[in-house]
Amino acid sequence: MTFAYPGLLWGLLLGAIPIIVYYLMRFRSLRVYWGADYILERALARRRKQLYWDLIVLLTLRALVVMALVTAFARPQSRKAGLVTTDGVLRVVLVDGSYSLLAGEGRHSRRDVAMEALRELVSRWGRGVKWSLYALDGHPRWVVDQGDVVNAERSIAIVDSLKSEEASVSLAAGLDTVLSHGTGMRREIYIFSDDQASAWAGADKVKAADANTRIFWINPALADRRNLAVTSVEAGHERVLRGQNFTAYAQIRNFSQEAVRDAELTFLVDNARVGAKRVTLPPGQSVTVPMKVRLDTAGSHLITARLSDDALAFDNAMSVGVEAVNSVSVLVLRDAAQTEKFVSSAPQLQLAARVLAGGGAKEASGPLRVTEHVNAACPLGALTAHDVVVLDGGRTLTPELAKTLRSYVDQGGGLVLPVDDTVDLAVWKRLLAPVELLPAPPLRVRNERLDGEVCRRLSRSGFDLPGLRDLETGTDGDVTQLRFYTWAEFGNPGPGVEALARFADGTPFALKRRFERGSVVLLAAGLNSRNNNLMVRESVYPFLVNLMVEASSAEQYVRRVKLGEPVRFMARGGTAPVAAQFAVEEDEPLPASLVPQPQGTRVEFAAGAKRSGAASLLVLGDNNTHERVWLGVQGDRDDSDLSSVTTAYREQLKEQFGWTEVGNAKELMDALESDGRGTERYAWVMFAMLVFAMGEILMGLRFV
Amino acid sequence: MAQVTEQKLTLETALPAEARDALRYLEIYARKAVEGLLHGAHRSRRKGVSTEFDHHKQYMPGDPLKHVDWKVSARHDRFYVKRYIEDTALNVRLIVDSSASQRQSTAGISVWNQSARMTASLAYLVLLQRDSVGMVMTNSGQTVWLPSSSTQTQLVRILQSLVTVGASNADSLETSLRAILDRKTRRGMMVVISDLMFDPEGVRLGIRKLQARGHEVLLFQVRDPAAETFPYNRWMQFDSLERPGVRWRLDTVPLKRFYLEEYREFMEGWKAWARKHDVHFLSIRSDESAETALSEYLARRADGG
Repeated sequence: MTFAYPGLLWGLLLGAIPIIVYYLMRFRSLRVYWGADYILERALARRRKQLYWDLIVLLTLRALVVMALVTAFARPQSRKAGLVTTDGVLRVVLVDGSYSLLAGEGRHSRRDVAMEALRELVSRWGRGVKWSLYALDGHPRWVVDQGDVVNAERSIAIVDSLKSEEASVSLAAGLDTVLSHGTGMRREIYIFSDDQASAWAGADKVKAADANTRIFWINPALADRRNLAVTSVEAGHERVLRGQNFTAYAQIRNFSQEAVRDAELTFLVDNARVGAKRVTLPPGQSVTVPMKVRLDTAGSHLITARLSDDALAFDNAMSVGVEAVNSVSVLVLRDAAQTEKFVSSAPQLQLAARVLAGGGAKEASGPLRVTEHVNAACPLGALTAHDVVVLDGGRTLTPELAKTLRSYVDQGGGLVLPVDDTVDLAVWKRLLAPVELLPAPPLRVRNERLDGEVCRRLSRSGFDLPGLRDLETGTDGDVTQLRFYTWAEFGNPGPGVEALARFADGTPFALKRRFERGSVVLLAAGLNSRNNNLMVRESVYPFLVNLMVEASSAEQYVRRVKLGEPVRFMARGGTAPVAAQFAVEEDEPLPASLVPQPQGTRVEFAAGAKRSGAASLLVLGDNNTHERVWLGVQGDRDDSDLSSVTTAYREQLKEQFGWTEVGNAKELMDALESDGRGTERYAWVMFAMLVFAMGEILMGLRFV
Repeated sequence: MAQVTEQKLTLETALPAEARDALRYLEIYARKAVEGLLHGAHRSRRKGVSTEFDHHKQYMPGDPLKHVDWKVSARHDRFYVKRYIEDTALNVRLIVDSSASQRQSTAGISVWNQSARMTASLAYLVLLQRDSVGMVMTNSGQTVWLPSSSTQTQLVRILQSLVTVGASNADSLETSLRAILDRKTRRGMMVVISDLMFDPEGVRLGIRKLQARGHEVLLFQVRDPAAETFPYNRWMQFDSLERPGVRWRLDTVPLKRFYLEEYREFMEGWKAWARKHDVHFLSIRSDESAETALSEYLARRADGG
């Protein structure tokens, strides 16, 4: 037992006051002549012992009441339970809210250990203790700013309301903030965080605390810091053909300082396991793991890559949404005036569709449907019925057609612009550039002799489009065998333009510009068979199919978003949506807004997701219909590196801030006890005083 | 609590006019047969001249012939004489406790004054019905003995004795009882008036002896209100009235409960003893009206209660 004001314990001598007063009153006794001596003497003789003990108990109780009151003013603290409560001290608590603190062994994370210690700490603070709580997460803030403790339950409730956020934090900045809080006061600062090197970077630049500040660092131990994380998951296309194989890719990174061997990576489609692979990674390295996937039903699906448990379970899974469709409709716009042989892309695409459908005349009802449009008039309605429009190079381009094509793209269409030797580049630049349908300015078109030495070949490793990466391996067709004797050279692409495929010399073959909905794919060569070898190479068919499927997915909003990125989806079903909800994993769904658009209702969750995981957008129609759209929220894994600060740096910080480092609640209590502090026992003493006072009153009642 | 100033006892205050008025129509009768020299209203142990026939007795030589019941003698062929119950005057002796404890005074009138008033009232009552009354009390070791008399001057003598003597010594009642027992007295009524604040054994023994001699004993107790209720809640110094120089300085808060228990037990002891030995027991407080209490008692007594 210790006391906040031990000097007040001299006041215990005041316990003698009731006894002194009692006997002083003896000298102020009233005198009375008494005749009933006999009875008085008899009462004294027969009850002398009882009178004696009654008096002893009564005076003892009175003395105890006074002494308990004095003890209460001295603010007793239990050293056994061990906590700080020196009066006039501001207690500042900093809680690291980053998810690296979720690392742990078994079911107990470091955050669990830290929060247990924090709860233990605040539960021992007495009423009126002044404290502040700083939550260091994605939005650092003072949760409690020099407030007074009302009771332990309320303080614990405040502590329990703190949640981890998927964000990296700077403990150096947090420490700087709390050290500049309540300056001039006697302070005790409690830092509940891990020893993550990246979070503590720069802490040595923080100004050291003054002499009135005592710092405790509660840093739960972590023995095994091996941590693999899924850093991204992507499908070949956000829209795929039902029943067709495609590849999903999971990127894995080893964030630890040692190699990880044979970690199991499992792929799941709609939470059903479809395959697994073993991953071995050196420290700090990344690998992209492909997995062949096939979706047998049309609709929205979720692909998840999940690693076996390691130190940090939070970053072991990541998801992406994919839509499977029954078919992709392609419209090839050809100029009726162009009658040369092989001038149209349509025959080549139709051939690819037949091969995809299994040959014969099945292409009409197969997954890829190709239609040729040769009329001069080209209304918007004729275009929007198709997923992809291919503008053949020889097509006469008018300003009206350029505007119609832009409208088509704005409504979610995928426009493919192959540049062949029939293109009038000047017209294209003049008409398509103003409507922003050229991802890059075409500089010139080179024509070389067919079967000559000078040609362009596609690169085997130059595919940025995941859907085309299958072609890199040659399993689905060796695209390097394709030769182009006519090709365009582009200027610098505009912002947001991505290269889907490149020639072997690194120059772009396919450039894509994506709008909010809809996209334009600019090809450096024609898809017809005019001046290339596409007609004689079967390996071109998977390439063309993938290219068309990729172009068709332009209609979709993205199914893979970053943290905080707005989520949008165009509801184009038969019934108008009446409500929508957005939810990540098992979190409470949040309402999404409905924005009327000319082409339908856009469902929007502008705030974006706060954490990574499988997310879904549930759209409720006005006819008891609903549609669930899956998507994956993919954070940047900024906080997955669990590497601890170096020993030298740790020692430097300890010397700088003079803190006491502990690992859990018990060590914290022990540290505080050894620091000469105790748990507030004020209430107990007051209770004891009340008991004594009640006893004194009861004793008094006995005499009535 | 401050001692209340004692009202001085005078002839007038001992038996004021209103007391005499209140007692004028009351009568006191002996319950037992008594012995008296004078003819009176009370039944005598002796058989003699009277109008109330008692029984027949076989004639013995020396019996007055005028008492022979000739009708009965003729019927039984032997002589019988009539016997009559002789009415005699009641002889009441007032035994007054004049011990110092009687001086206790907390209600405006001291226990002694109340005792004196009670004594005077009884004497007045007895003399009013032409019975004789005497008084015994002890003062400073000497017994004050007023022989029985039925003259009106007896009342004056009694009152003068009460006024002049006052309460003084410690064991006066026991001494007075012993003085009566030492003398041969006719059967009569003994009225003991005291606060009873002493060891009861000696007095009880004396009363029992009086009863054994055929006296009817009445025990009148005068209580002091403070001694009865112990109305103190602080340190008090109790100076003994009976033993000068003896004092107790006490915290009455814890003591009060025990004292009251003791007092109650003591009083119950007296009542039980009186009930057991057929002693009429009347207890009044010093601040009550002596005449009223006496009236109620005599009424109860007349009804056989």
